[in-house]
Amino acid sequence: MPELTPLISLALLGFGAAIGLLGSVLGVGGGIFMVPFLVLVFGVPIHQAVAASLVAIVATSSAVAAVNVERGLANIRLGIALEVTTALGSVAGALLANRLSGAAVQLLFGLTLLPVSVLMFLKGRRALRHGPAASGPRAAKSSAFDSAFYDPAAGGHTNYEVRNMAPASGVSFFAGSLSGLLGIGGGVVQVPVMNLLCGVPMKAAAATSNFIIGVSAAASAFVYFRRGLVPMELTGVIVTGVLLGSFLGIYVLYKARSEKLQIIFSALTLLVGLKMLFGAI
Amino acid sequence: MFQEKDFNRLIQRTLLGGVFLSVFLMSAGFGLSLAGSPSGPGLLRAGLLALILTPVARVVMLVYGYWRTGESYFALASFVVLAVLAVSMLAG
Repeated sequence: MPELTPLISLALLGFGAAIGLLGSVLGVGGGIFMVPFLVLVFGVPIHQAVAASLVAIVATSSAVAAVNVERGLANIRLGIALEVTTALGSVAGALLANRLSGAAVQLLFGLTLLPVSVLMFLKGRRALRHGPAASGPRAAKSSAFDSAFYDPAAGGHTNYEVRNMAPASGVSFFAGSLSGLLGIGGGVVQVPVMNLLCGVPMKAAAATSNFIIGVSAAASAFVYFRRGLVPMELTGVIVTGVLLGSFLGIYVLYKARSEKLQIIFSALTLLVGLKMLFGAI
Repeated sequence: MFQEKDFNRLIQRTLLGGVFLSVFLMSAGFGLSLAGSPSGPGLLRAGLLALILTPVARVVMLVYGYWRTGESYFALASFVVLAVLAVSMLAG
């Protein structure tokens, strides 16, 4: 465990802020980057690194969701419906963890993410060419999941219908299983599910994903906490940075165009997919 | 009448309350630790625990909120999440 000198504390604070910004804008926890960074750069033991990363995900999720719920960006009904299957999936993943080959799961996950990345990119580029899609005052709802939010980048309200809830719930179960099998938060799956499958605009998908991922991270973080594996001071410094970055990210998410976020997210998906593939081979 | 606006405010306040309580406890913990007080690490630990339990409090509020608005499907869904969460936390 590194000694928290002022320089190391500053580096952890800055790194936490970057992860908080990334997480709040794109709807991912960032654990996939935080764990290797803490282990390789700071020499933090793997279990402590995972524990610190889980607490950081809870921090981003709670801070960001509080503001996004008020702004109508986070779709609570959609979030709770997907949380059910994600939570059940994480239990299934934890039960299967010893029976499946980690490398095989990683390979499958990496291969799945590559076409997802291409689809996200193409959808974002098409939308960028056609301009932002503000849709005027709120229309009548056709399902309990439909919602609307004010989008300053589009200059008006964006209404959207939520489609394909049954297949989306199935994929969320898979996302939950991955968190049990591979120890990742699942935001990198939840955002494309909502955006590509359910038709939720990127900003609302990122905000809703942030709302969802805090719950499963909290369950795992509590287990690490109870076992005394959370490095208190190091996590406290990272969480402070993450909260600063998250509050900055809330502003960026509010102002940014969904289409641009979609293209940035496609790059992130590609990066995670390649990391998984190289990790498996 | 408990409306959607009240519901959103309840969730927002629960989450912000948890985050601010955690920040307060962690700051006090860091400050006291630097001053050499033995209660510093305990407060830091309490701050992190408050943060970890914030999403759980949020799910409890979802069960309550959906029960108040009469949306039984979502109240049940929230309750299932809470149950799975409790089992994972206690059995993990």
